[in-house]
Amino acid sequence: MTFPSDTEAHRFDALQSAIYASDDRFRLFNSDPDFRQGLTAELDRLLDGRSVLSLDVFDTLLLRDDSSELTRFVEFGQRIHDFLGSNAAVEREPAAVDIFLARYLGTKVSYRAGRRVQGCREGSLTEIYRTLIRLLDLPVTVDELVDLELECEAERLTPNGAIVDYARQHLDRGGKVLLLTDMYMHASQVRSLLGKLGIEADLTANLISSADTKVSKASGLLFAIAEESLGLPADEFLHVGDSLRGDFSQAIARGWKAFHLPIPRTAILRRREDHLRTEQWLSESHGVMTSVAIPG
Amino acid sequence: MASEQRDKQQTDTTNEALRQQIGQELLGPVIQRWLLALHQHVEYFRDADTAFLYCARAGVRIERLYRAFLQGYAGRDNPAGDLFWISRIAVAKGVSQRKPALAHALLAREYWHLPLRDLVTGLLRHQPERLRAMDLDAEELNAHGHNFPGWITVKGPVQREVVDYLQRCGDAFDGYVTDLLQARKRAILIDSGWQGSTQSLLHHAYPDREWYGLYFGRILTAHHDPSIVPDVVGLMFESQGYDPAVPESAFAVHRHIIEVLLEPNGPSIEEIPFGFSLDTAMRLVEQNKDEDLDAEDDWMYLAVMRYLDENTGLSISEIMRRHQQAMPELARLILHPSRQEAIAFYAKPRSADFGKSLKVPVLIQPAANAEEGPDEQGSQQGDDAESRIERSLWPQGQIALEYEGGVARDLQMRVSGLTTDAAYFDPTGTAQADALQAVPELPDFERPVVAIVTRTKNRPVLLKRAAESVARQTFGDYVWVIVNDGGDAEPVRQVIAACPIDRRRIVFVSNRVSLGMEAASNVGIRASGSEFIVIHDDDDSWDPGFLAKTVSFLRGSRGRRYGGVITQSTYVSEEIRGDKVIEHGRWPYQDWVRNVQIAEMACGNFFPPIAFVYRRELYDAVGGYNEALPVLGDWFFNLEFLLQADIGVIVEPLAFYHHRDTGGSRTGLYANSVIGGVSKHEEFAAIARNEFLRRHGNNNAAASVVLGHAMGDIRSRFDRMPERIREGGMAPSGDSGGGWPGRSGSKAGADMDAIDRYWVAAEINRIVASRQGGLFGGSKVKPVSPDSSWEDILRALRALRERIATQPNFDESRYLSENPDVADGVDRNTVLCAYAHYVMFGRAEGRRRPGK
Repeated sequence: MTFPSDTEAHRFDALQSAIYASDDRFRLFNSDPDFRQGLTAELDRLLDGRSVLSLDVFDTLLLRDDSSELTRFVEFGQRIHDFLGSNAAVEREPAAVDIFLARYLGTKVSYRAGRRVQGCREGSLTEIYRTLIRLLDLPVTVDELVDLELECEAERLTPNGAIVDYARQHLDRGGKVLLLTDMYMHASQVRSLLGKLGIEADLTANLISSADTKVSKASGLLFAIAEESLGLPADEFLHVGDSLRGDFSQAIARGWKAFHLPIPRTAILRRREDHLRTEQWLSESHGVMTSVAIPG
Repeated sequence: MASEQRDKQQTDTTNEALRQQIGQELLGPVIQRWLLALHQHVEYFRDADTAFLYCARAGVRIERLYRAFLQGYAGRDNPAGDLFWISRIAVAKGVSQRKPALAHALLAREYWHLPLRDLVTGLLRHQPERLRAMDLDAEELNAHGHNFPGWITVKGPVQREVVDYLQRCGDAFDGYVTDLLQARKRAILIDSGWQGSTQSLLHHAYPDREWYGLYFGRILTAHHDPSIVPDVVGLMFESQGYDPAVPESAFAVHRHIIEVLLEPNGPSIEEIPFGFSLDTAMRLVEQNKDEDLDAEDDWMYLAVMRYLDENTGLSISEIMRRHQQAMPELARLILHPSRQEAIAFYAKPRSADFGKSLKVPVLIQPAANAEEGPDEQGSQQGDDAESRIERSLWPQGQIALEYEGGVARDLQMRVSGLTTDAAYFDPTGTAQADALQAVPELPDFERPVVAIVTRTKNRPVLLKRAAESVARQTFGDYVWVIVNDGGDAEPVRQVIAACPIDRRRIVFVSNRVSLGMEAASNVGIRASGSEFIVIHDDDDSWDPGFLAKTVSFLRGSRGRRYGGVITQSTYVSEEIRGDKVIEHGRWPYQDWVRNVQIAEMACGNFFPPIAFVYRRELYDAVGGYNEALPVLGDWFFNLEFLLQADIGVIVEPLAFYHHRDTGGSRTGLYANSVIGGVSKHEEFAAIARNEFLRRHGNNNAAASVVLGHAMGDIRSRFDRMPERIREGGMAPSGDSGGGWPGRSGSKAGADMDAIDRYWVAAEINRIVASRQGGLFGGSKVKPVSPDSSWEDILRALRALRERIATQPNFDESRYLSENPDVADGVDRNTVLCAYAHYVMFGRAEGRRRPGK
């Protein structure tokens, strides 16, 4: 549109819009020099002397592929089924779909009935697999199944080159890096996963997971725990993440600086397609539906 | 006779076949799925610190069903846990020493309208010696049960006996709980449902333990305990009514299926099986343990047991598949049963607990076909279909017994909350249909649903609050356009930098030189693309649900006919001191508005921009805000808008219209245009009216503006009424149309008559204008002058034969209660309303005019 001559219009979303519109964020983050330069400049501007660079993990420090959560859960079931098939102690391994559903039931109960802290509940991968093992009466340990899941996850995750490099640079210039994740994986499990993906240990030294704290970024309560763990006030933190609510709005509400790193529209659409394909397969092959949410 | 027998045999055969089908294909798979969910939670919680307690009486059958479920299931053969031999009344007795207020309130609620005598007898009905020792004919026991909490504190002979009994119950219950739980910290109650009232009592009485509840479903009523809700787990559904997206929630409209299925044929355990009452309680316990099953009354339980026995060892996926296949049909059967299905589904009446002996019918036999029906106990002399539907525990089933075909289906829809009277004649659908939308599409940031335009100029304190108001919206698909109209841009940038709004949803437009309010609106609107538009000035704010509700209205079946919608508003009085906003009060603003008429709008604007969401196509059709008007542009826009389309009203105060109307904020930087610019408003009200007439001089609707001015003139006379008759603390009108004060009233009797006369004259003229859409063209009734006599005004009113709005200071309820003959007339529709009666007859008859 045309404005009166003395009128100017401004926007503040150049980077977010570029990411959202991107068809290939792996290329954008890992090998687009202009984008990387712009991102570095913006993070520098927002850091502005702050000592802590706080990073979300999934879809921020690590980039997921375009598979949906539902598909990954089904894959975990298949992977465990194969593992049990090769385990002499297992008389007859359950069908892969039953392992998937037992994991689903374990997830539901972990989020619904788990211990409450400050009115919040969060899931726990350890609880999920403990429940699965009991429901299916399997002669295996929780750690064995968690390791299988982490292996599966690692195959579908890639380090975010631009963010990893920026975090490294921040550490090198004397800053602190903190990882904050709203996830059912406990900190030790996330750390193990990051190790499998080649993320160096000094980047993962400060890592807090909602699976341990039982409060989340989405509730806004995890930020206070982070401040306490590092012994620093809110104005020392810049947080970067993909969740508008958990990583951006709640961080700002707490008095942190924040930068939103959205997931591209095409990636979300591909994940949705993948979700619907798997959902259809579950329905047609096994006659079951689950309440695993469609990516949004 | 032989023919009747044949008919009966045929009916019995059909019933049997239907029950077989329901048990095997529907109830069996659904109950098995519930038992899988129970098992899932038991296995999650199972550790040395946790006790699982199956709460009698339902727990007796739950434990048996769970045992049957586990046969052939991997890992466990027997259910973990113990039976907890309690009832709600036993727990109320048991915790009455630890938490007397809670226990007494519960007892009082259960016997609210019954005599205290019944309550005492109910409490002690297994203690005949105590009862014999009491004077149950005492007058005091005639009082209602809701007096129990106070009554029990009086040291009378009956009270002493009750208190002594409750003390002993408290000791026994402490012993029972300790014996069951030992050192375990966590207790999981397993029961049928629904809102954890027993769990609540235990949670408060024994706070050193953690109490969780695993129920078939969770249904919260007004009496639920919010502090325990997160630990009240509905395994199959958590809902207050039927939600089509969750077919299991059909049980919320007929939970008695589950209760009847799980209720053993034994008495309620009203005594505590420990200490002094052990023997008495155990007699009750044994009757439940050794219940006799009846093929007719217990057919559901027997069918489910048979299903579990015949389908042991199913995989998780097979259990889930069968359940997901069965549940929609079972939901259909609960919500829309045919007559035959309703009869087949009937099992036995519910027995009341809490010391009462009565049976409550699930379905009531209509008298006309009494022989084939389910329950003859429920019938009462003089029953009609409506009263039976009201009294039955399964109204959908009762409707099936009473009516057939489309009538039955429609009534079933209504009692299930799936349609409303308002939707009945609406061909476009219902609110329920609106709610059943598919997965929402991903947002298109170039074309958001709503453009929110905020005009600001050097008021960062207020702009920050506006940003918070926008950020709090539960509806997120918007673009926020901030128009800095000639102020310093930097503070605006700082507010934007600190706000928690998605950066893709912010556009900042800065005018180096102020263009004026209306031009600023136009610039902001044209800098965005959207389906809807709303002006959110920097000094106003919203309830978090404002956008969600207005957008939902305009996109829903009801709103499609409207070009825009307003919500009701709240007037907020405040001042700015330094960087702080000091609020002085808030009250409803123009809360009489129920609809928006051109003639009404012609009197003056009666809603603020912050309350108005409208379609962009209407903005384009109107041609934008009139930039020639320095004030009142919104009023002029609304008039133009109403020539194009209607405006709906959401009768809920979701917009906050802030005014710096006290202290130093009345004028200067933080002044409102309606407070700081009063003289401008007066001047431009005339200019705006004239401009509107020039534009639309040949349009009939324009005539409404002339009439509107006349109405406004009448109303302005309220303004000129002596100050002494005004209400104290009346809100400034904040009206940007000029000339219409808030419709507050007065309590001064002598002048009230003049106010009524002006009011009725204004109402007559409003009705005349709205009837013809032109200047009195098609009406036989002519407008009246505010100076007309009562005689002339009433003559016009009688000729109109239409209901008038009630003068706000007139108390309708009190008038009706003081004049039963009028109330009777209103009920029978022979009197239009209380106020109409007063002005037409009451005042002449010398009846009192009750004010508010």
